[in-house]
Amino acid sequence: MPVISKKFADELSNNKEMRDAYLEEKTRAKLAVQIKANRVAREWSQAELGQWTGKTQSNIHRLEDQNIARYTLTTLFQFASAYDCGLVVEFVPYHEFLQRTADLSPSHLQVPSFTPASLAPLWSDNVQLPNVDQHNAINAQPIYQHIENREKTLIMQSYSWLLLWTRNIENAAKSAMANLSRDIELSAQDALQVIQASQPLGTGPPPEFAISQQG
Amino acid sequence: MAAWTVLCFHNERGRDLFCQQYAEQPVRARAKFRAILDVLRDQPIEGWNRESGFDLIAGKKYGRYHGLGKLRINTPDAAHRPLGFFGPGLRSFTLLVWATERDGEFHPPNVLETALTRMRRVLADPRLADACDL
Repeated sequence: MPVISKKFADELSNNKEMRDAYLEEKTRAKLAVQIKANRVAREWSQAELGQWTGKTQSNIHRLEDQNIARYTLTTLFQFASAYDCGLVVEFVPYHEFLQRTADLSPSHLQVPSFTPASLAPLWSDNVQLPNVDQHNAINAQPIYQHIENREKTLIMQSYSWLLLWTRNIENAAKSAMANLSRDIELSAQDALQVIQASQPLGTGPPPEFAISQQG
Repeated sequence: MAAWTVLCFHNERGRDLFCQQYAEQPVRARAKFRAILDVLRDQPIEGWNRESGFDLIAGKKYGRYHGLGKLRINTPDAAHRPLGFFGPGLRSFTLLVWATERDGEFHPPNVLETALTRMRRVLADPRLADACDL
């Protein structure tokens, strides 16, 4: 599905002032929607978010209104802290900006709060998770594009548990194999000794058979 | 995929009258209009609210225009208010006419009547609401 219409592409191509104005307005609009989407996802009131960020309820109301909101980096850091999430401010090619701001649905803009489990893929050598970074979501696996906030967290936790579980099983299996090998070796030696004690090797039936014949 | 399809009012000859007006607006208003429309397209119905840049036309004074809505585009030079309505189909919103608002009054003065007339024409003939040439 196209990100923008051909006509809008022409408008942007031919008008630098339009490119600048749209960049500013769209960025502000996305921030306002994302601030609200994450507050609603956490079931916080504007007053509660105000407590987390040290702002008044009316201030939060203004910052969620794209027509009047003005943001500073400090303000954005305060929201990132309240939501316990990351914040990416970077310069990108204009077409990438258009791609990254294409989906403004609340479910797409919600980000999970930090969990220790979410770091597991970063230190693990063996397993790579699909990219769930919101800012790279356009390149992510489709299944991750519209998964709800809590589901993402749950998946990350489950993944972490699975990783630990797999490692435990692997260690347990290695240990069991070592024990089993040793037991088999010992059993074989015992069996050999019994056989050698009862019959010269290669003559007569095995000891069990001999016993059953006697019975 | 967008939650809403945004349409524009076309006359019987197929001319997109709303987009003609759009092209005449200042750059800042056009940029903000697009940004607000981008947001609204992806919101559930409850997300079409003042914070997202949308209001229904309401109040005693405007009782006659029930069903119309306005996009709120505040720029330093003017308060732009493109007018539209939900319909004619499900999950669609039709832009009817570009207005501005000053001191609680819409401009040009007859713009609400124009919007109302166009809305009724679209409801009578949904083909007049077609894909936006935006």
